[in-house]
Amino acid sequence: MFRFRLVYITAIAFFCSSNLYSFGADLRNNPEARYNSVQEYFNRHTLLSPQVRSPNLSPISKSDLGIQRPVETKKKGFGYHFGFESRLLYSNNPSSSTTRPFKASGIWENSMNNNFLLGAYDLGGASFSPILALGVNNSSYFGDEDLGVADSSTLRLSFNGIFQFSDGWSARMGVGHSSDFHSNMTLTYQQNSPSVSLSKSFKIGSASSFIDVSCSYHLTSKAQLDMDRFENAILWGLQIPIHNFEISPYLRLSYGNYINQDRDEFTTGAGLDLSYRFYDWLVAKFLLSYSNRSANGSSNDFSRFDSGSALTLQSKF
Amino acid sequence: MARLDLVHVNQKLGTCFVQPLEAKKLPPASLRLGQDIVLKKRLALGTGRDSLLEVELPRATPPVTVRLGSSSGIEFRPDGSIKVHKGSFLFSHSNSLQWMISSRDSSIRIEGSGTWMVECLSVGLKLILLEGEIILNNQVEVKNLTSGDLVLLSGSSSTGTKPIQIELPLLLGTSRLINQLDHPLPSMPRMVSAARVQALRLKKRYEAFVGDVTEEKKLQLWTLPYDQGGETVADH
Repeated sequence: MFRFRLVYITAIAFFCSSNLYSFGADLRNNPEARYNSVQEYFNRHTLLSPQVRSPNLSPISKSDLGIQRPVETKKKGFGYHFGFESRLLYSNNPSSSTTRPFKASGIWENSMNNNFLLGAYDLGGASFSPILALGVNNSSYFGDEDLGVADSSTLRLSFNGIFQFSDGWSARMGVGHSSDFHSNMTLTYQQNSPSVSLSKSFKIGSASSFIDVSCSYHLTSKAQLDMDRFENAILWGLQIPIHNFEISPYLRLSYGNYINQDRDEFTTGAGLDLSYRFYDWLVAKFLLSYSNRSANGSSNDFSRFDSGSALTLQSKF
Repeated sequence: MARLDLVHVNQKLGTCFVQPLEAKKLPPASLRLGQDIVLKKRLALGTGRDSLLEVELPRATPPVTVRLGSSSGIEFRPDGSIKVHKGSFLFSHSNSLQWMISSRDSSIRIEGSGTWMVECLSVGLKLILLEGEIILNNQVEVKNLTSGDLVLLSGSSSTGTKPIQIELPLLLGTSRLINQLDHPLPSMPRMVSAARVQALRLKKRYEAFVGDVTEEKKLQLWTLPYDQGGETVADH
């Protein structure tokens, strides 16, 4: 069985482009800042992918009945995954500004994720797992004084029900909430997002891959009604383990349609994470990502390139 | 009871044969793929070394799948009961059925639906439920088994041990009865689902493997060090 691990997206477009803009205006320009889709996908699947450590069984690896190893199980399968990651990034356009020349700066991000598996249920041919997730993300900008005003925090809460089938397919239904706060704890943005997705995972030798197609509707708070939008996205990822290393490229394509604006946009996010696992609970990463948005209308296109490193602490109970 | 009046050969690997038991002078006949065997009198199906056989009981609704492991012998009787002589067997049925299964020194009534395996041990029987729910009834006690449960049955009253959970993902990956034949079992999605749920509910893996039962009716547990692949035996 393959296992997913926490692999992180760095294409996190964050907030203010400069002090010319308010936070609200910046968020209107950068809705993709909400998503963290790759990270959320991996967090969920880390919790749903049991760690299998196979002993050296070559002399007796096959028998008519198979190998019978005693185990102890929980009654319902409640589980918990904790993850903390600290990222230090360089971005050529940290504010996802739509006007050139871009202001480059450094970003220090700290994120904490708590995922609660609320049981595992056998439906006879499919399994069902509800997951409650609670996360906090904090971003600080350095290297450009103007961007200091963009320091902020995001609180994320989501509830998802995931059906997994035997042939690698899985279906998800869920609802998420996120709130953004300025560094002085002023609420700057809020949204609620019901979503559905269909995923297929593959095994290619020792590597594993997945495709996830999702639809979501984003209901924003009254102050940002023009940000209400419908989004379709496709996410592809690959994990290639080589001893303690893991190479993980990914690509996310999304199409957004704004309900209260004459605005459609196409966003591309591509990245490569190179991870080194010191222990199951400690992972170091080198991160590369590129994101690009192309929208109708004149003022919403941008591109940015981020690179950096991260240290991840994680544990599963 | 499951209807055993017709047996259809679905898949085979190696040497597989049928032996009418009422006329023992007749030699065993090789089985052909697609062959139908009408069961009017007692007969036995058998497999040679490194062979596997899958038969279907098409009169059951939906049909029941029975697989025989290598060097195995099973006897079908017109009254619907089954005697396992040696080897290992897999039964799969999605409807609730009753089975009366006996061996040289054990007998047990099984009721329920799912996929389960039986192995003849040197003393008694080993039974593993892969998916579904079954009830074991030996007239002394009733046991409800759930996916992943392993029970050892021995003695004339077939007193069963307390069910122990075994690791289903490992079992599914290493069982020839499950994955050696070309066409997968119809219950494969249900087995995978049961294995996934067990894996998510996993609390602890023991560094041991269940073996046979000794003449002294002690369960053999094999411990296998990770780094050396050596084997030791511990009696429980």
